[in-house]
Amino acid sequence: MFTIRSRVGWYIGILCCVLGRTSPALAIQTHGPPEGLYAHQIAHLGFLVAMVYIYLRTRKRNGDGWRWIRLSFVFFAVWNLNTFITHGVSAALDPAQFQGRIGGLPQYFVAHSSMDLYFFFGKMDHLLCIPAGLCLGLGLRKMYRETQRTSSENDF
Amino acid sequence: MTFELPLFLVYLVDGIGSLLMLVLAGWIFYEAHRLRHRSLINLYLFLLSCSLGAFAVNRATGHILRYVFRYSGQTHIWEAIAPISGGVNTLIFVIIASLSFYYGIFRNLQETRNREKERHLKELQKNHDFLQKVIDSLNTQLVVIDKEYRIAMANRKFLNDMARSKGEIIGLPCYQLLHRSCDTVTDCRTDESDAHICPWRRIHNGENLHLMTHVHRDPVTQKARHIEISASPVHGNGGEVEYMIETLTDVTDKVKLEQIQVQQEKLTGIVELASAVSHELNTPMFTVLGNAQLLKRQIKPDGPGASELTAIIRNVKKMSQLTRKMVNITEYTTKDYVDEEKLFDIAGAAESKEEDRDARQKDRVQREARWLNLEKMAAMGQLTASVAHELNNAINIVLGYSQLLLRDAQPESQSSNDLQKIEKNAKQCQRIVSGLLDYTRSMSREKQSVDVNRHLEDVLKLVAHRMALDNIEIVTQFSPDVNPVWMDPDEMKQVYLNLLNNAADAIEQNGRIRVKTALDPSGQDILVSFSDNGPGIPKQVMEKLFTPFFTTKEDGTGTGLGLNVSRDIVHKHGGSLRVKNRPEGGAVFTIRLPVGHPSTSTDGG
Ligand SMILES: Nc1ncnc2c1ncn2[C@@H]1O[C@H](COP(=O)(O)OP(=O)(O)OP(=O)(O)O)[C@@H](O)[C@H]1O
Ligand SMILES: [Mg+2]
Repeated sequence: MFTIRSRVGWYIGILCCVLGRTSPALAIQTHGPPEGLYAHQIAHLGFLVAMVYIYLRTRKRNGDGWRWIRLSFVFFAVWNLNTFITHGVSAALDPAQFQGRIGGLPQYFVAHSSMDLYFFFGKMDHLLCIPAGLCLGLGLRKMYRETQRTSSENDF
Repeated sequence: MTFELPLFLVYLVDGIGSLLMLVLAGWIFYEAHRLRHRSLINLYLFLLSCSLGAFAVNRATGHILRYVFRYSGQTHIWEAIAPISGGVNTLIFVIIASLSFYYGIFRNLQETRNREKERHLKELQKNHDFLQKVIDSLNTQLVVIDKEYRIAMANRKFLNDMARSKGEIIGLPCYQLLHRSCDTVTDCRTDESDAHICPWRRIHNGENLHLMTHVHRDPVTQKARHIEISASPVHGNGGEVEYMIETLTDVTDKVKLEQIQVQQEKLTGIVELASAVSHELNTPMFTVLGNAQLLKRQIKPDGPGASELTAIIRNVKKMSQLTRKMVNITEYTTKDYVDEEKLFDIAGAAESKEEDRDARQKDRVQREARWLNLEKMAAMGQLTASVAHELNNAINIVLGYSQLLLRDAQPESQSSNDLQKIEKNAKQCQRIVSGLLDYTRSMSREKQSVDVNRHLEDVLKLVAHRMALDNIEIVTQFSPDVNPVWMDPDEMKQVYLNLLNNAADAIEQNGRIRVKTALDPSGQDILVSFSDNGPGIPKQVMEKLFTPFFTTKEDGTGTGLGLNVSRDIVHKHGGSLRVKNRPEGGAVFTIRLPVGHPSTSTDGG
């Protein structure tokens, strides 16, 4: 009989073994390199569609809380779109476009096209991601306040 | 065109952004966590926010680790971690996406739940309304009292009878409304003398249900009402007593009726006793009479003892008259006594006349008939008492004279023998009558200080119905100076009723009776007069007015006792009853009653 905790221990153990033998495993894997990227990109699209969907479904809900939360869905959707494009663009980049060294990191990015420019600015996706998080937090907070107010009205 | 763009800008935004994202994720988790109760949608938001937060945490840590390892040149470690981070990221995206599509399900569930809740609430409300209606329809006062002696609930009957609104009563301490015997809850709990009166204490002592009768004050009229209370506990979930339900039924009428019955029984007792007494008296009385007449024949008319014997004979004859009177009274009483069965007949007749007459009306008719009965009985009782008193006086005289003669008589002589017989039999008469006297004395009720005007007003209410029927107007003229008088209100009521009924009988129909009270200029007496605009009293009637059994009313409607008894009662109160014809027609009867506290007037004769 395994308790849940010991079972989790087992899984972690197995995972470590697999990771420890990474290179031979990679040699025989059938899911080659572009597959990860594709899966990730499809997931982004799913995320994007989900955000649009839930935005539309919750469109009729009123209250400040929901308004903020809907705004966060919009930000998340835009963020997904941006990241999806950035990922796509980065796959076509030439490593030579990264020049110079700060520690182990490249110092400059040489942009030849508007695509390259998009990549550079798209990389700063936190400018979308953080507002999304902020809106979500704010929305939840407002919602909590509202439920507290109404519950104090309704409860005898 | 070629741009050389500084990547540190990207690193900066990425690094600071990632750190910020970690903070934000913590905050989002906190907010979502405290929101998750209350509704399914909130729970859903919690789940969605958690996965969004998890996404933020995973991504931010991934980015931070990438910078750390790549900057420090340990790229191989990063390359080992990168696929995990990326894979988890992808997974979380999928989770977020699928969760988003569950929104509809959660919402439907929530709506179903809301609808159910609403239906449930409606049902509860319906049950509540039904219960309320049932309780309000109860024809008994119902009140629920909590542990702190505060009224938690009351039905409509209670509110109506208390003349209060629900808002005024709920939360009000019960002792302020009902007993007013204590001022605080601690008073109520600790006052030992109050133990028998407060149902709460009995409930606390584990008595489950009991009936008790209290006297509460009517909130409107301030009159004392007899209330029958039944109380039972309401247990909480833990079995402890939380509330007490009290139902209060006004049994004042019932109690009064019982009192009347007791009174009636006593009066019936008197009359029965009187009947027996008059029978028993016959033999000794005639023995006395026979012996006295025999003795008188033996002595000269002006010889010694002749006047005494005459007195004895006169008084024995008086005794015989009184005995006959008593027999008449008892016969009259038993003849006209409206017994219980007849009472029901009266009520039944009233009912059959008007089918829809309610029970209350029937009750009233029955009560009135009972009162009528009682009045008649009271009159008889009164009369019997006064006759017994007179009888006793006569016997005492006979006894006194016979003892006087016996002292002077020669012992062992024939006359001495006869006198002893007279004395023996007179003593027996005395014994027989004393039983009746004792009984009538036990009947005499407590006198009290009575507000004459108010008392009169109450009496007038009793005859209002009859007066209205005969279209007789009653005009009152009460003086506010009239002092309270020490009297038996029931007996005086009888007097008032006699005089009022006489006046109404004289008027027959369409007339006016003026009832007037005044303080005598001397300030010693109060005067109550009843004047009518009837035919007045002819001279020959006036002479016999107060004699018992004198009546001008035909076919047995009158007994001819009313005025006789009335005068006796007024005399007993130390007052007088006078009659006059008014110059403008009609008669005036005036009662004069002494103010103050006459201790000498308890027994009139
Ligand atoms: N106000 C009055 N006007 C004229 N006559 C009266 C008046 N009051 C009494 N009488 C006369 O006095 C009589 C005796 O009255 P009393 O009250 O003693 O007996 P009653 O009224 O005839 O019988 P009862 O009172 O027992 O019904 C009456 O029958 C009536 O003739
Ligand atoms: Mg009369």
